[in-house]
Order: sequence, then structure tokens, then C-alpha cells
Amino acid sequence: MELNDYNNSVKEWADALFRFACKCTGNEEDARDVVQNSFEVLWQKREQVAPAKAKAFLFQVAYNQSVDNYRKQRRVSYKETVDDNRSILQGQSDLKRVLERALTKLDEQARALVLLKDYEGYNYEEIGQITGLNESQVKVYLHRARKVLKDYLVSVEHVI
Amino acid sequence: MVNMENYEEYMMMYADGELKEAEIKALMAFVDAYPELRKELEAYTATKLLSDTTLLYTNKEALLKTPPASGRNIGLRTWWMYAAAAAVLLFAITIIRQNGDAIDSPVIANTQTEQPASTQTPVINNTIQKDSNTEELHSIPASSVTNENSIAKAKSKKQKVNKPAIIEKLIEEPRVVKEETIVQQPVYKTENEPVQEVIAQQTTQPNGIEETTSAPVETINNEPQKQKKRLLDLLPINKNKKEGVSMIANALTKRIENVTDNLKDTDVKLKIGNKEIFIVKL
Repeated sequence: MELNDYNNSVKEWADALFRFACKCTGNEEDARDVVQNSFEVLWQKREQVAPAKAKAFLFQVAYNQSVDNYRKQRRVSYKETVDDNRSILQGQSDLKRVLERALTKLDEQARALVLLKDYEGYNYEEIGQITGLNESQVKVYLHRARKVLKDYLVSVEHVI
Repeated sequence: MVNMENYEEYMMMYADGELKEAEIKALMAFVDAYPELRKELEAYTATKLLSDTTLLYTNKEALLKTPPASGRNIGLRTWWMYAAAAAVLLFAITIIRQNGDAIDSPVIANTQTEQPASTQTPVINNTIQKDSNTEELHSIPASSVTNENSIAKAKSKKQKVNKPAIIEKLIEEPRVVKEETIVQQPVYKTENEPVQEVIAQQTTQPNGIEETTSAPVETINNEPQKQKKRLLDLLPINKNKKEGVSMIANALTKRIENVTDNLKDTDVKLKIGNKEIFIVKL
């Protein structure tokens, strides 16, 4: 990867990486640190990373840092600090707010899998490469996460 | 096939977008067959998150990288280029200055000024005489052979005979040449004539020949420059051409001297930007 490839990666993937880190860490400040560290690692390893693999590499680093960060700090303020305020400010729909809240019910790994699947559109194999899981594990973990989210949606719907 | 045991997995895979076209059709057919499962399918589909495109990373410019100090590297390379150029220049100046001392009296250049143009090289005359003698030892008395006659008679063979002699003169020292001319003549003579005839022949040569034969004696007598001057005379070219060559040599010598003088008054400075690296005063 050359300098131009790296800079193109910044322009193309910084926002997506930041959104992914925000949802994973539940904190914009931590998410910013995750993005900076991810690109710094990419720059240091640029000679070993092909331009086509830059995005996966960035998400892999961000995933590891987010999960580690989450595991260390055991953040529980995800919903209050980021999602609810943003949802209110931006007038998101009820369904989206419920889904954001449902994400807090997932562990950090399941949340990352759902985000990689829904936000970035990776398939099971690609998610496995990013997270270090095999394809079957990804499928199982994702389905568990889907079931949690679905159950939450149905329960809220019943309450509402 | 989709059935009551695995429909939920199909629904989750449908939400993940991992089902193929045929599998999607099979799932839809199964849901049509069991309408009470449609709400569950819609719930799984609703769990698909949509990216929040309003959430943007600000200050991306801080993440961008610029070429890492390439200017300094280029500057270093440029410095080495200047240093190499300066070294070559100093080397050339040193050689020119060293050669300047040796060029003070170039061999060819002085031939014009010091050597009379009318003098013929004794070597050529001797060899010509030798040739004429070897040809006419028995038919013509040695005393009657003049230098001009011998030249005229040996005219056709002059080039062939003179060339080796010239090469010998150019390669060897004049003293050796003189020895050759002296020693070889008796060899020729002793083959056919008594030694006395040779001596008589040499003594009875006309004045022109005596003058020419006396020239090598002068050259032997401790004047190497004059011996060198004769190198130009040894060349088988006309007088006018020799003079032309001498003029060219003189002009080149003067030009080299001028260049050398100019360099002596010149300072060589190596500057990078506004910074002087070193100065060489010549």
C-alpha cells in the first residue's frame, strides 16, 4: 500500500469506521481513539496490507480495540451517552431507537457481528476473517444476536 | 427444504441476506403456507440495522499522511551530487596544474622556433644513403654518390625504407638511433665492401651530407629537447604541413597556459542554497 492508497482509505473508510466504533464502544471519544489507532496501525503495516484489504484490516483493528476497550471498561452507558441523545436530536424513528436500545442487550462481540453484517454488509466468511472466528461461529453468534433483537422488538411492541 | 424445525434459521439468514434465490422462494412459500409465521419473519427482518450516515468522523485531515521528509532525502542526494562534482573538478584542476609544468616546453611546439626548417633529418639521409649504397655498391663509386642523387635514385623506395627508420626513431632514444646508423652501416658495407671504402665514402660525402651527419652528433651532445624536436622532422610530411602542425601545437599550448593561468586566479566555491559548504582557493 502506498501513501495515496492510505490517504484514500482515510477518506473512504474513516466515517464507517467511526460509526462502527461508536456502536461498539458506546462512546464517541473512545470511538475517535479507536479510529486514530486503527489508521495508525494501517500506516505502520502499510507495506503488508494490499489496498483492497485496507477496509477489512481497519475493521479488524477497530474490532479488537473496541472489544478490548469494552471489556476493560465494562461500559454500561452506551444507551444514555450516545444513542438516546442522538436519536432524540435527529428525530429517529421509534423502531430505530428501539433497535439502538436493543443493541445494548448484546455483548460486545455479538454487537460487533451485527454491525459488521448490517452496517458494512460483510458476509459470514468476511466477518470471520475480521473477528478471527470461523464461519460457523459467526453464523451461530449472529443468529443468537438476531433472536435477542427480535425478541426485544416483539416485547417492546407488546408493551407499546 | 424449509420446515417447522429450521424455518427460524432460514428467517435469520434471510435477515442477514445470506439466502439464495431458490431458498428465498422456498421460505416465502413456507410462510404463505403458514401465515401465522409472517409476523415473526417481519420481526427478524426489522432487526436489520441501518447505518447512521449522519454520524461522521471530523478532522479526517489529521489522519492523512504527507510524503515522509522526502525533501530532506532529495537534499542529501543533491549534496552528494555537488560533492562528487566538486571532487571531479578538483581532480581535473590538479591534473591540469601538474600537466601545466610539463607542458611548459612541449616537444612539438618548440620544433618550429628552434629548428631550422631547411635542415633535413640526418637519419633519413643516412638511410637513403645506405639504401643507395646497398643498391649501387658495385656499379657506382661511393665518392660520386651525393645526397641528392641518392634521394633521387631511392625515391621509389624512400617510403618503404624510411618508415621503419622513423618508427625506430620515434620509439627509441636518439642516442640509440645514432648507434644504429653507425653500426648498421658497416654491416651493410662489410657484406660487400671493405671497411675502408665505407670510411672513404663517409668522408667524401658532400657538404650537405656532412652537415646532416653532423646533426645527430649535436643531438647526441646533451640536448634532449633538440632531439625531441626532430621527431616532427622525422614525420613523412611536407614542410608546410609541419609548420602548420607546429602552429596548431603552439596555439594549443598557449590556450592551455591561459586556462591554467585563469584557474590559478579562481576560487571554487560549493554552495547549497545560501550556505557555503567549502571554498577551494587555487
